[in-house]
Amino acid sequence: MGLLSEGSPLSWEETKKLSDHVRKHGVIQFINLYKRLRDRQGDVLKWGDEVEYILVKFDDDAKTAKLSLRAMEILRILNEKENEDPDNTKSLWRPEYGAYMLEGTPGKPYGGLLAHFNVVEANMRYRRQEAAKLLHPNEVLMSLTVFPRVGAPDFTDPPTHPTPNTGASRSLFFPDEAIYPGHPRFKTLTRNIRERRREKVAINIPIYRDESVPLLFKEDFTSKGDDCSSKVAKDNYIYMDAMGFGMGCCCLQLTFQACNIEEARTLYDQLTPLCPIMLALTAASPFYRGYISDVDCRWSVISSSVDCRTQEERGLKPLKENKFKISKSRYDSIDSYLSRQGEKYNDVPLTYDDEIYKQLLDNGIDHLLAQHIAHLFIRDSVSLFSEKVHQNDLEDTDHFENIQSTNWQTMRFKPPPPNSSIGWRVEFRPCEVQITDFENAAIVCFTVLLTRVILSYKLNLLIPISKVDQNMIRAQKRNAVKVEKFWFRHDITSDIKSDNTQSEYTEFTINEIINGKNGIFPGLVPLVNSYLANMNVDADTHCTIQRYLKLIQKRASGELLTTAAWLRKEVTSHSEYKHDAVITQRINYDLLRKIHSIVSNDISCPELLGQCISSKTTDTIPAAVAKAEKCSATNC
Amino acid sequence: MLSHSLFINTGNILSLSEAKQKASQNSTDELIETLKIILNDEQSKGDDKTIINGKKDTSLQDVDRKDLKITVKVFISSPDVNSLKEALDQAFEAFHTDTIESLVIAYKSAESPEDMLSSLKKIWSVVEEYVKVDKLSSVGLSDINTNTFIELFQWADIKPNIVQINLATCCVVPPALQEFTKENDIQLLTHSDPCQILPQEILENIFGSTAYLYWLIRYQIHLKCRGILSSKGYLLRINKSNVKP
Repeated sequence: MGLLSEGSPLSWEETKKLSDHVRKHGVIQFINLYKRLRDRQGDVLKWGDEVEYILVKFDDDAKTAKLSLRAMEILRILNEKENEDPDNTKSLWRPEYGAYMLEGTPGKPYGGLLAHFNVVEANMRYRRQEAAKLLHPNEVLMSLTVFPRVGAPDFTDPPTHPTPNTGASRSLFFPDEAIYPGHPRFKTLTRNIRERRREKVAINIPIYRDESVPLLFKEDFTSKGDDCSSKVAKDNYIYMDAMGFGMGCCCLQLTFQACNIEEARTLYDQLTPLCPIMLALTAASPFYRGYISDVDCRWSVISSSVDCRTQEERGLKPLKENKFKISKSRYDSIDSYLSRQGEKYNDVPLTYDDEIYKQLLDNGIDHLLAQHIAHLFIRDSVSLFSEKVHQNDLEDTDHFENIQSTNWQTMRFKPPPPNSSIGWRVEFRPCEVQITDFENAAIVCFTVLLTRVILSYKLNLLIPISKVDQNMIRAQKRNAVKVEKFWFRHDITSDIKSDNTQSEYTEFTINEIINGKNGIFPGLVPLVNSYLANMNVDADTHCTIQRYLKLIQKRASGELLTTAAWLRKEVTSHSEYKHDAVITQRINYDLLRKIHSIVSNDISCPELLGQCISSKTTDTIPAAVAKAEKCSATNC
Repeated sequence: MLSHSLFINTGNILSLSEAKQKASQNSTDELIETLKIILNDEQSKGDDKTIINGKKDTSLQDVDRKDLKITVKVFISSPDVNSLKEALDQAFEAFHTDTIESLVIAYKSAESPEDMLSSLKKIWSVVEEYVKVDKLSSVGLSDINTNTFIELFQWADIKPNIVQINLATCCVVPPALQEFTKENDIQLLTHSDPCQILPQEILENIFGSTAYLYWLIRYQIHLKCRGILSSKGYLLRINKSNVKP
C-alpha cells in the first residue's frame, strides 16, 4: 500500500513539526527528478497486476471462519525465495495493512506482446498455490475484497480484543493485533491519521433495509463507554471507527509503463472515466462488521477509514489552525486531468498552495502537472522515519514518495524511480478483487487491452471530472451495474472538436458502455475485438481472451451476477438468515466454505462465472512467438 | 472507356473515424466502406486514373523504423508469380522500406489438393526468394488444409513459420495442426477474415461489371513490444478492362 521505508517511526507530534520539511524537500525532489527524466523516451509496454489476499481459518466443528493473523509468518517464508534469487522468482510478496493480508505480484512485469495475456492467470494460480503450501490445515488464502465479519465479535484467529482506550486504532471493534505487526508503517499510519484528525475516523455505511431490520437501526455504544462514537454514528448506518475497516480490504490493481511522460499523461486521463465503470463492474464488498450494507463497493469505506482531515479542513469549523478547506479524503478519486486534451474537463476547484505551484512552474513544469503535484502536497506526511528525515534532494525521492504514496487515488501518476530502468508509469486502482483467478485475470486483461485500444485508435473518453465523481457515487450503489446510469462520452472515436462539452456526454448503462448501443455507441468490448482482429494473436491467447471478454460482457449485461450481487444472494438465501441484515458466524462459515469450493473447482457457480471458466492460460508464451518477436519466452 | 489497370493504396484507415465507430464490422465491410470513402474523394478528379492514393499516412513520421513491425497479408486467387511479386514490390514501395517483418499468403482457389499443393509451391518459391535476400523475415500461410501445410513445409527450402487459422467464432484448432506447429516452432495465429475478402459481385458493384482483382494486400504496422497498432490499410490492383485477362 505504498512505500515501505525501514526504520524508527516518529510520533505524530514530531512528524507534524516536520511536515513542512517533508513538503519542501518532497517538491524539490520532484523538480529534480522531473528535470532528469522528463525527456526519457522509448520505454516499451511493461505491466503487472497486484492481487491482495486474506487468510481465513476454518473451524469445521464450531462452524466458524475467522481471519488468521499469520500473514507475517507466511510472508517471511515467501520472501526467502525472493531474497535468495531475486532474478528468477515467479512471484513477489509484500505485506499489506491487515495482519491477515498478503499482496502478490508477478515476479517480473509482463511485456507488450499479446501472448502475455495468456500467462496472467497461470501466474495468479501459481501465486495462490505457492502461498497455500505454507498454510496450516483448515487455513485458506482467499481473494475476497472484504471479510464479511471484519470487526464483528470474535473475528480473528487467534482471538483478539479491541482496545478502545489504548493503541493505534482505539477502535470499539478492530483490535490492533489485526494490523500487520511486521512493519511499523501500518500502526504508525493508523495512529497518525487518528491523531491528525483529532478524533477516531468515522465510517458510516447505510444498512441494507431487509424486512426485519428495525425501522430505526441504531446501535448503542455508550455502554462501551464511548461517547464520541455515539455522536458520529448515524442512525440506520453501519458504523465503523478504524482504518482497518478500509485498508483491511483487498483490491486488484494494475500498473502500466508508458513509452514517455506524454503517453503516461494520456493513459492517466483516459483511464479516469473508466474508474467508476470498472468499480461498478467489479463490485464485491456488500458486507461490513457482520451486517449486510446497502452499498456494493469498498471505495467510500476506505476513503473514510483514512480521512485524516480535521474538522476545520472538512469545513465543519472555520479555518483557524489549518491552511485549507479540503473537499476529499486522501483516499479518493482524482481531481484533475494531466494531458492537454484533458485540460478543459478540469471543472473541479483544485486546492493547492500557490507558492508550491509557482515554484513548480518556475522550474519548467507545466500548469497541469504543477497543479497536480501541488494538490497532492496539500497533505501532511502521516508516516515518517527518523532515519529518513535528512536526504540528498538530488538523488533521493523519499519525501516526494512519502506524500505521493499516501495520496491513495483512483489513478496514480508515477515517475520513474531513481537509478532504474523503469519508465513513467500509471497505476489503475479502482477494481475490487474477485474470488477466482479466472475473473481477476479477465479484469486485468480487459483493462490492459483497453489501454492498447485507446492508444491504437486514439480514443477520447474524457468527460468533466465532476461527472466522473458523480459516477463514482453511483458505482458504489447496490446493484449499480443493473440499475444505475453513468455519464459517458458518446463519440469516443472521432477527434471532432466541439466548444460545448455538455453535448459530448450522456448517460449510459454499464451494459451499453461495455457491449455497445446500436447506432449510438460502439461498446468497449467490440472495440477491443476490432483491435484484436488487427493484432495477429496466437490461437491459445485468442481463446483465453475471448473467455475473459465473455465474462466481462455477461457481467455488464446482467446475465451473470456481480460478485457483490452473488454474495448478497448467498447470505439472504441462507436457511439461518433472519432478514435482519445480520451475517452470523454460521452464515459466514457456509459462505466462505462455498467460495473456497468454487475457487478449488469442487463445485461450479454458473450464475457468477458462466459455463466456460477454463481458459488456455499457460506459464510461458509460445516459443515460436517469442522467437519471431525476438524476445525470450519469460521476458520481453 | 479505355481499359486499364488501377492501383489503390487506401492509406492509414485508422484515421477514418467512420471505420472505428462500427467496431463490430468484418474485414469485407471495412474494406468496402474504405473503398467507398476513398473513391468518393477521387470522383471529381476524373475516371481514367491508374493510381488512387488515400490519405497520406502521417502516423509513422516520427517513428524509428526499427521500432516498427510491418505485417502484410496477401490475398491472391491465382498462382501467378508475377502478380505476387508485383504485390510485394508495391508494398515495399508503399512503406518506403526494404524489409517486411511478417508476411502471410492467403491463397484462395477451388483446386484439388494436389493442384493446390503445386500452386502453393509456385507461390512459395517467390516467398523464398524474398526471404533469402532478407526482404522478409516471418512468413506463412492462411487457412490451409493441415496435410497440405505439412507437405509444403517438408518440401520447402525456407520453412513457413506462421500458419493462420480463422477462429472468429470458436476455439477449436485441428489437433494435428496444433501438434505440428508446436513441434516445429511455428506460430499458430488467428484471424477473422471472411474466406473471400472482396467477393466478385461486390468488386463489380464498385468498379464495374468487368473488374477483376489481381491481388489485395492488407497491412498492419505495429509499434514493437508496445501492443499498439499505428497504421492499417489496403493495397489492391484491379483490372478494369473490357476483356477478362
